[in-house]
Formats: sequence, structure tokens, C-alpha cells
Amino acid sequence: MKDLVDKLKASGVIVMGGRADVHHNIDARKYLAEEEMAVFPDEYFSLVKYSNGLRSDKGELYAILPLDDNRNFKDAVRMNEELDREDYDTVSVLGETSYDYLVYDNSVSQYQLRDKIKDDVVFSFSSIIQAVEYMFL
Amino acid sequence: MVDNVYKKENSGEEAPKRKRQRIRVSVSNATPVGIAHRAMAGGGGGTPPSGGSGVGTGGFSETDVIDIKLLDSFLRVHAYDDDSFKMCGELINKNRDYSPYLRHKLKMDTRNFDSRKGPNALREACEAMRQKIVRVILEDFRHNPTEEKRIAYNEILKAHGRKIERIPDVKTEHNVQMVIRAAFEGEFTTPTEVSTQSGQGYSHGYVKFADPHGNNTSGLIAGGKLPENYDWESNPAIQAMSLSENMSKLIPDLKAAIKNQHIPQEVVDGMTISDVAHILYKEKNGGQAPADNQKIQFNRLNEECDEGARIKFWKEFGKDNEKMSSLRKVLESRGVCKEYINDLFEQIKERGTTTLNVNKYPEPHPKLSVHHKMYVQDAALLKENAMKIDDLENFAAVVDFPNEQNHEGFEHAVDTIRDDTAFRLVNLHDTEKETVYLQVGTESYTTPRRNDYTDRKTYRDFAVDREGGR
Repeated sequence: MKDLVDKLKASGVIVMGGRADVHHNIDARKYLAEEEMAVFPDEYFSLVKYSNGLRSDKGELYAILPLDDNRNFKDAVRMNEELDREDYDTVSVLGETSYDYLVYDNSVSQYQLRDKIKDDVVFSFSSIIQAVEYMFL
Repeated sequence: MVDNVYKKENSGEEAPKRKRQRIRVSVSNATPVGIAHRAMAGGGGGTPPSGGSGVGTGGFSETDVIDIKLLDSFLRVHAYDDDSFKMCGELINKNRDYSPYLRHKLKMDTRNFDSRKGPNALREACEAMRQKIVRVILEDFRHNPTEEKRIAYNEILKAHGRKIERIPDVKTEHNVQMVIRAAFEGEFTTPTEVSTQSGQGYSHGYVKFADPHGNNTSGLIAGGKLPENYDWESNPAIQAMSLSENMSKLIPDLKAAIKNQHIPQEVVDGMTISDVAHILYKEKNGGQAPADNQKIQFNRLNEECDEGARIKFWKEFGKDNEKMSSLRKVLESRGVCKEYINDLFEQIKERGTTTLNVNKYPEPHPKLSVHHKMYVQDAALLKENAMKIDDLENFAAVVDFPNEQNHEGFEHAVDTIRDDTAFRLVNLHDTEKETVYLQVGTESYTTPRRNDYTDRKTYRDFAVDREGGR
């Protein structure tokens, strides 16, 4: 994960969030579970420990409870509530590009880019590293 | 013990948001397709109070809709009254007569309309309430899209320069989806292995021919030869590439590469855009294959190609004094600091990008983006008389401010599909003569269209044609 973060930093065109508070990560997990929503994948929580949110002209990775310097990122938990997907118990929305949402589909253990309007899967990835590289690099 | 921060945020008079929304979905029987997303950001979704007319009856009732229309025109007529005393009285009476569901959705506070609060208080309160009306009717329509409501709501939306259109829903071919994204960024991305396995990457035939993921696949297809009269124009990948002016420039290179690499007809027939990327890269790089998930910029393959619609759009925007002046006024009107504006303008002109590290600047922090104006997913059906999908007139710059109605929540609020019908919000400012180049909330900024517009169609023409001009 650190290699990915270093690559993102080196690109010079990506706004990176500060580190997520570990207690907020725990709260997010608990909250999602209690609300019977799909809990975000471990890889996502690992990434936000380094950079709580990412943004460039190409897209955005949502953050966990963005506060202070991270306040301009969208909150991943709140976005999942607002987007109000029917499959909220298996699919988490973690970010977006101009045309697609980045989702993690627990039923197939894949990260996917899905068309914002049609929900068609456009790209699939086996790890968050691949997905982030696609979206930002 | 410390409370969960997410629950703490929601503590107050209302139950946690997710649980409320789940109830709402079940009572309104919303959105039959697999997605219920693009909900109105900050749109106030929630379970109506029990006994309200919205419960179990498909959102607003006929009476609610009439009440909403009357309220909207009442607010429009009285926004410039000198004294709000009489008006507040009437609003209190109206609000009392509304159904509990409508009252819950509007959450009207008549105290805001008191003209004693300041010289513009009444006008601002009326405007804010009319914006609220737009939000609630769009939200209602997305969950309950009936023809009666479409007609009624369009009367209200007309004053805001919008209209809900209904068009037949069409399946978008995967190659077209790939071309739309590639043309926007000016680059291909080679697929991951899991994408190919899921049917979104290399074609089965190309995997058997070229083994692009390097799996030492056994039983590879041998090289072949295309017939001399091969019908390139009917090839799905070539057709999809033809939708983009930028990618069209790669088609001659692709034809030559296919011949040079002896790719057999059976593979070419089923060629995907991912195959195209792999073929072109190999041709340009002496047979070396690209890695998975690798970016391949068009202008590295052919120097006549440009850097993609997104960057090109902003660079062209940056050259136009009128557009930049409008953007500056918009930013200044919201109190964006001078340093931010200056740095942003420099970046637009030099790099064609808009993302700045906002923590360096005082608030507010606007968010700029480029959007296809509409119906890009139907581009394939426009065929030869269409404007290309990367024609800059099909894009508009969007500026979103925190605490204001954002683009997503407004322009896409009614995006929904019922059976074979799709509903979309159309911008009435986009006409045969004028094109929208900048959108801020519900405001649209237009400029005259280019002279060659009359020969071509945009997605809006297509939508209106298909709807029979309604």
C-alpha cells in the first residue's frame, strides 16, 4: 500500500488526504455493520490510514469521517447512505470518476467501476491498488 | 465509553439515516432497476410521518401536486411584495391545509418570509422555497415517475430552464462505453485479468490469438489473413471508435496493424476496444506487449491525436475571455479568494486541469468538473449525422459550491429507468442556436453555437426526436 501512496504522491497531480483516525475507521465498520450495510473491504481501510481520500480531475476516493484538512472529500459512509442502492448489503461505493462509481462487490470479491446511470460493470479489479491506479495514475 | 462518531453525527430528533431510507424504499416501491442511486444529495429523504398521503400511495398525491403548483406560483408572484404580513398569513393557512406528507417534505418555516428581517429577506425566502420545491418534486418523480406528474412538474421546472424528458431506454454496447471513457481521457487502459474473465476486457478470440495476459495459453489460434473486401465499417470496435473524432484518427493505424500482425478474421470480427489498445501498442513498440492496467495515450500512438476531451475542453475554455470572465464572476460572487482564482486560471490555461490543494486557501472551495451534457450513452444510435462524442459542444463546465445544490443532485435527480423508458432532466437553455458551456447549480451560461451545428445532431435532438417532439 505504501508503494501505491508513494506513486500517487510522486504524480504531483493528486490531492491526498491526511491519515484517517483509527478510531473513526473502527466506528465506520461498526456503524455499517449495525445498519446492515456492506462493510468496506479491509484494503480500503488500510489505504485511508495513509491517505484519507484522494482527488484529481479524474476522480475521487471517498474518505472516512473527513474533518479539518480532509473536509473537502466526500464521506464514504454518508455517500453510501445517500446513494441508497438496493444492494446496499453486498455492495459498497468507495469513490467515483466522471462516468462511474468505484464499488466493491462482496458477492464476487471484486472492485468494479460501474456506470453511474446504468450500473453496468465497465472495469473489474482484483485489488484496490489496481482500481486506484486506474482512477488516478 | 465513547460514542460511535457516525451515530453521534446523526444523534438528534431523527433516527439513523440508513434505517429511515430503507423504510422509504419499501413503502414507495422505488426504482425497479438494480440501482437506486443518484439520490438527491441533501435532498431530505426520510420516512414520511405515519398517516401522510405519501405513505404507500406513490409519493405526492394529486392534491399534493396541485398544492405544490399553487405554492410555486404564489411564491413567484409575491417575492417582490413590499410587506410580507399578509403573505405570511396566507402561507400559514396554506401550510395548515397541506397533507402531513407534503408538510413533512416542504418543512416550510413561515418566519423566514418576514420582510422585517431585512430588505431582501422575503425575496430570498421565496427563492429558497422555490428551490426546495424543485428538489422535492424531482425526488418524488424519481421514485414515482407517472406521466401526470411529468406534465405537472414540467410546468414548475420551465421557470428553472429544465424539463423532464422520457426516452426509450437502450442498452449501451460495452465497446461504446469504453470509447466514451477513453475519448474523455485521451487514453486507453489495458484491462486487468479479472476484467477479461468478467467479459469486459480482451475478447475470447484475441486471448486465444495473442495471450495478452501472458498466461502461456495453450491452443493459440494461428495467424490468418483478412479477405481483401473485409467490411471494416460493420466491425463493432471500429464503429465505436468512429464516434470519437480523436480515436477515429487511430483507425487507419489499426487496420494496418491488424494486417501486419496477421490477425485472423474470426478474431477481428469479435475485436474489443481492449484488443485495439493491445494491438496498437504492440505495433508502436516493436512487438512488445503492454502490461495489465497500463495507460496508453493516444498521442503517443499517433501524434495527430490530442490529449483527450477533458483536458482539451479546459484548455479551449481558458483561451476564451468571455467564458473565463463568466467563471471569474461566478467564483467572486461566492467569495472565493483571489489567490485561488489566480492559481486555478493559470492551471486551466497551462495544463487543462482544475484540481488544487484547497487547504492552502480560505473557504469557500469550489469544485470544478467537466460533464457530458446528456444522453452520451445513446451516442451509437446517432450514427453518421451525430456530433462526435468528444465534440466540445457536448460538454459543459460545472462548478459546485459547498452548501449549494450540486450538479449531481440537480441534473441527475430524475435519472431512472422504468420498463423500457428512461427519464432525464433536459436543459432548455441548450438550443439549436445556443450551447451551455457553464453550469452553476441551476444557473446556465450560454454562447452561440458553431456554424456547422445545423448539419449534426446532439443528444438533445435525439431525445426530442424519439419522444416525438413532446
